[in-house]
Order: sequence, then C-alpha cells, then structure tokens
Amino acid sequence: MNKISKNIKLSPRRNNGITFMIISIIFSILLLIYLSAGIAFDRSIERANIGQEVEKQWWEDQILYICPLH
Amino acid sequence: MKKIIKNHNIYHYAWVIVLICAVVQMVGAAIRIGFGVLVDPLVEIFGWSSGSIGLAYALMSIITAFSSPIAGFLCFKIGCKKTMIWGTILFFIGMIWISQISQIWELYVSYGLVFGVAQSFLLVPAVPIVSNWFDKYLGLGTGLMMGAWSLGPAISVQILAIFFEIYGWRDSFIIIGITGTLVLLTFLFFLKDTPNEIKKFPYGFSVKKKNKKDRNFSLLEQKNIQRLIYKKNEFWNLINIHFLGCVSHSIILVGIIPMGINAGLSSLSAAGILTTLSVISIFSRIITPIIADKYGSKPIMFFSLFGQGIGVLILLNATEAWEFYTFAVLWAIPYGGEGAAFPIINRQYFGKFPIGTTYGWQIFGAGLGMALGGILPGIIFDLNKSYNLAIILSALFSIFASIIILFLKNTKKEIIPT
Repeated sequence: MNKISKNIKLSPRRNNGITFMIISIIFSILLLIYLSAGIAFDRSIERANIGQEVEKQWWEDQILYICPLH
Repeated sequence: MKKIIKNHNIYHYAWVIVLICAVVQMVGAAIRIGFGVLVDPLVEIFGWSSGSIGLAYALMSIITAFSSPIAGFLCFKIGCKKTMIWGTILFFIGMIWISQISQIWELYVSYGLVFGVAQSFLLVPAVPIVSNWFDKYLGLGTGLMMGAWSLGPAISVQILAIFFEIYGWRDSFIIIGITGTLVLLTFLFFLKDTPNEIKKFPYGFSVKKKNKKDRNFSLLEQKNIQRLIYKKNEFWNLINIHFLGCVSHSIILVGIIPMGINAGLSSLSAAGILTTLSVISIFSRIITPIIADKYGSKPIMFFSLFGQGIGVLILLNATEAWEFYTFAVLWAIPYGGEGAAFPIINRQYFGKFPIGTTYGWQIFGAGLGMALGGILPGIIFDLNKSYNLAIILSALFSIFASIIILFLKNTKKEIIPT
C-alpha cells in the first residue's frame, strides 16, 4: 500500500478537478437563483393585476432581493 | 494457447453476464421512462395536477442520484449481485404500492423514494460486474449492455400502454410488478459478480499474464486505493463531465416535444422526434464503448460532448418538421455516446480495481444533471415564451464538459498503479 502511495504524485495545488466542480456548482446555483427570481417577478406582476389572486410564497421577496436582474 | 482460445469464444459465460445485465438495465431504465404513461390515469382518476405528479419524477431523479454512491458502496461491501437483489425487492414493493395508491404522498414515497433507490440499485452494479468479466473487449461487452438503456424504455412504454388499455392501470402494475420481479430474480440467479466465483477466467484473459493482471483486492486494499482515487483530478472531473453532459441532454429530452409543438408541429409529429433520436442513439451507445476501448476514451468523449453541444444549436432556427428530424438524426449520435464511454475510461484509469464506488459517484453526477436539466426548459419557456435560452444553456453545459475532457490525463496509462 505504501508502495502505491509513493508511486502516486498527489497534486492538491493543481487540483483542476475540484476547481471545475466548483465552477459548475456555482454556475448551476446562480442559474437557479436567476430563474427563481424570474418566477417571483412574474408572480409579483400577476399579483399587481386586478382580479388575479396569486398567493405570495415565503421565498419570493428574498430571491428578488438576491437577484434583482429581472 | 488452448486456454487463451477458450477465453475468447461466443460460449464464454461473460456473454450470459452481459445478457443478464442488459435485462436488468432495461428494467431499471424503464422505471424512469414508464412514468410518462402513468400521468394521464392519475390526473383522470384523482384530479391531481400534472405539476404535483411531476414532482414525484423529480424526487425519483434526485433520490436515484443520491443513492447511486450508496449502491456503489454496497457493491464493494456486500457484492453487486446482492445489491441488485435488494433493488429487485424494492422494485416489487414500488410496483405493488403504486397499484394501491390513493393519496399523493403515497405516489411520492412509492415512485419517488422506493423506485428512486430501486433504480440506482439495479443500474449502478451492472457496470462493475461486466467490467469484472472482461479482460479484453470490454468495449464490446459494455456497448451491448448500454444499448439496452435505449431499448428498454422503448419496449416498456409500449408494453405499459397495452396493459393499461386491457387491464387498467392498477392491475397492470400488479401484473408487471410480479412478472418483472420473477424475471429479474430468475436472471439474477445466474449472475456471478466475478469469474472467480465459478472458477473461470475473464473474457479475453491471457493465462500468460495471470500474475500481472488477475488480482484480487482485499477489503482493506480496496478501501485504501479508493481513498487515493478520491484525490485524483480525474475522479472529480468525470463526475462533473457526467453532470454537465446530462444537464445538456436532459434539457432536450424533456423540452423537445414542447419545442416542436411550439414551432407548429402536431403532437404526434413532435413525439416522433423523441422516438427518432432514441432509436438512433442505440447505435452510438453500442459503438462508442468499442471505439473508446480501441482508440482511447478521450477523443470519442470529446466528440460526443462537443457534438452534443454544437448540435443543439440547430434547434435555434428550427421551425419545420424536417429541421427537427434532421436535428434528431444528427444529435442522437453524439448524445448516445455521452455516457457510454464511462465504464471504459474507468478501466483505462483504474485498471482492474473494482469501480463500483467510483461509478456510483459518476451516476450521482448524472442523476443531479438529469434533475436540473429536466426543470429548465419549462421554467425558461414560462418566463421568456421561448426555448432559445434553454437551447443555449444546453450547448454551454456540453461545451464546458468537452473543455474539461481536454484536461483529463492520457488514458494509455493507469493513474492508480494497482
């Protein structure tokens, strides 16, 4: 086992695997936040229209605060 | 010399293993696709919304993703065959439970939770078992098994639809549940985790190389080597590549029918696009592992991911039926190859070391990707009244995955010298 460990050069400093993984995770989370904010924005418009009763969800204000791009 | 020839023929037990794993894969993959047939009866009988029923599908995808590494771990701990038997038991419980549901939470537990775990317990162990049984020509064995991924759903959807028509949905689930379980158990009876169990050599095994290649790993060794695998870039990159690739094609698989209908195609014509690409992808699922085995996995994986990414851009301007069908034919080739080379690249990087846990993590990435990609087209269309952003995202995810492939090490040399 030790022999195997010696044969393998571990390179945590150049760990592109973790770096790419983090990029993917962050991009996916940002995408979900952006789309959720879009849904929240649409729902707020529907609420503002007379005659449309759209109940406000607990997350809508927070998500619009985090992502006001819409 | 005689023994070398003996380990190379059509009567080798490895082909029985491929057949068994293909049948199990067909059932496992059918669980996912068969859901579509279930939606209408549930809406009709219980009045549940399509959205709330669809939540069961999303839950199942996520549970499958999270239970895949557990399935891989169980392969290493109790054996792949026993893991599959547990998967069969869960399949039986899920089928019988679904036939009796009357509340929506029961659908979430029976389909989302029970089937979610059953699917991973049936799908994940098949790859390490086939890998154990092939010393050479793993690509051919894997390719034939992978073809079942596409064939299973195509057959099972038809069977389910016919049974629903004749027996109604409740009785259909009972009949298919009992028959499917008996078929699975019969096939699993003949399944052997390794050739050693029945004192045989793997397919293509050369007796001359016995001492060098035919190694058995003790549990402690497996644990320690697995820890080393976790520290390699390739371990993380392969999970990520599977995740990105699955987000990309999940967007298309879920969104292509609505995209076609939105462009003015009839629902029958739009459904034909999905059927076309499913059928053509069988070919590339079979051929990709063979090419990966012969010429190295990196080039064919790059072609599959890059092709999948560039190919979706055809949809940006598609308005006519022939454009959608041209897309289906061209895109199905790289799409089918996306996941098919993973068992081969695992062999090229990790040698004969048992890959259950590693492959389980890769399926975890794939499952999360399918879940994320599945929700994107609907939300994006609701917001923008167009699928263009979804198509561009599909392209970006795939192209990013193909860039990561360029950073993988050469597959000519094992990265863990076992």
